[in-house]
Amino acid sequence: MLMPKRTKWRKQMRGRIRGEATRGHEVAFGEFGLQSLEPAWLSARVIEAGRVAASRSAPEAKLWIRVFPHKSVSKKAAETRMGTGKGDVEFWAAVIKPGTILFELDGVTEEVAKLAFNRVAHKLPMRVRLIRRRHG
Amino acid sequence: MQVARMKAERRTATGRNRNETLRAQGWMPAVVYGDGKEPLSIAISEWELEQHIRAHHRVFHIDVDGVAESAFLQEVAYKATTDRALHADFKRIDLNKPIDAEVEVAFAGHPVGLGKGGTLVKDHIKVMIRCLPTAIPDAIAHDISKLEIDDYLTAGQLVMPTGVTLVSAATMPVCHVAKLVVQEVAAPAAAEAAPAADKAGEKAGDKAAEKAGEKAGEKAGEKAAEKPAAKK
Repeated sequence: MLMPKRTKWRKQMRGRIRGEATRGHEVAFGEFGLQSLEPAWLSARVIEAGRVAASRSAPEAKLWIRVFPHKSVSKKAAETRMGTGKGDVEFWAAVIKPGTILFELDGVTEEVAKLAFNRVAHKLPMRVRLIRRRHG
Repeated sequence: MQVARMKAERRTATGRNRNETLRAQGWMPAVVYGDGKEPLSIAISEWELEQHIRAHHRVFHIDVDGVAESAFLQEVAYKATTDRALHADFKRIDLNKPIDAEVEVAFAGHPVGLGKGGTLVKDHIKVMIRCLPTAIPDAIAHDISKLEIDDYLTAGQLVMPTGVTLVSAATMPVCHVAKLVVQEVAAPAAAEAAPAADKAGEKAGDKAAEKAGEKAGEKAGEKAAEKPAAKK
């Protein structure tokens, strides 16, 4: 699963996801892209599940993963009293704003891309849509 | 390339809220800049610009309150989730002077390498060219059917139309056919855990059996030793 090799600080504050994506919102590498329409955290596990779903559905395609889980998410152990500091890091997540391109595909027809991204969409915690590269 | 005509109004009201009001009325904010003159804020019809973009028009005569400006459509900003055009940048140009523009490369044909386990990777499908504004091609077509695996198409190999020169580096890769590497999907954690559990179970079972065997043997030995003693 994806995670940073090293970080300056182990634990982070949770933050809020506000506004739309102003970067990473255009199909840049492939011909088809899967775009997020809602804000969400995408855990490394879900990104991996999406990658597996897409590569199994379209093995001949070239796939790009456009997001990376930079954010460490901590969680207190069950049945722990409040206080005594922040919990341990539970998983890593990518912070997704609406409009962010999550995956890109190339080398396949639109039907194959639709099928592959439909499989991926079922594993994601937000609404998404398929978009094409903007030509011209 | 055809020079399109577009009407515009000078825009004095600026700022986010006023631009939102403008968009709600079917207009959109735009700016005309360059050529050593002051930038000019204008409002144009959103629908009209969309029609021009669909027709691949990039050079315009913009009629701003009766004064015509020749301009090149430099950039259009879109709303990320709805694809609605939010703002347009027009750069003032002289129709008789060459300008630099980005043009897409249109690939024709099916590369030979794709049939041999390769995949087409588009490295830079836009190249920078220099020509008169009226001579900007919609796209530069190139036949890539002879590309084998690990063959590159560079910008220098593209055939430019007459009057068009390449500005991008000639060695810049446009596309190449790479050998498709199918990543093997790792087995699910449960499947990995199952054989491990089996092995652990076997080991535990063996040990338990051995212990049981040893105990049984010892007990049997003891009993056997006791019985003759009892008979006596």
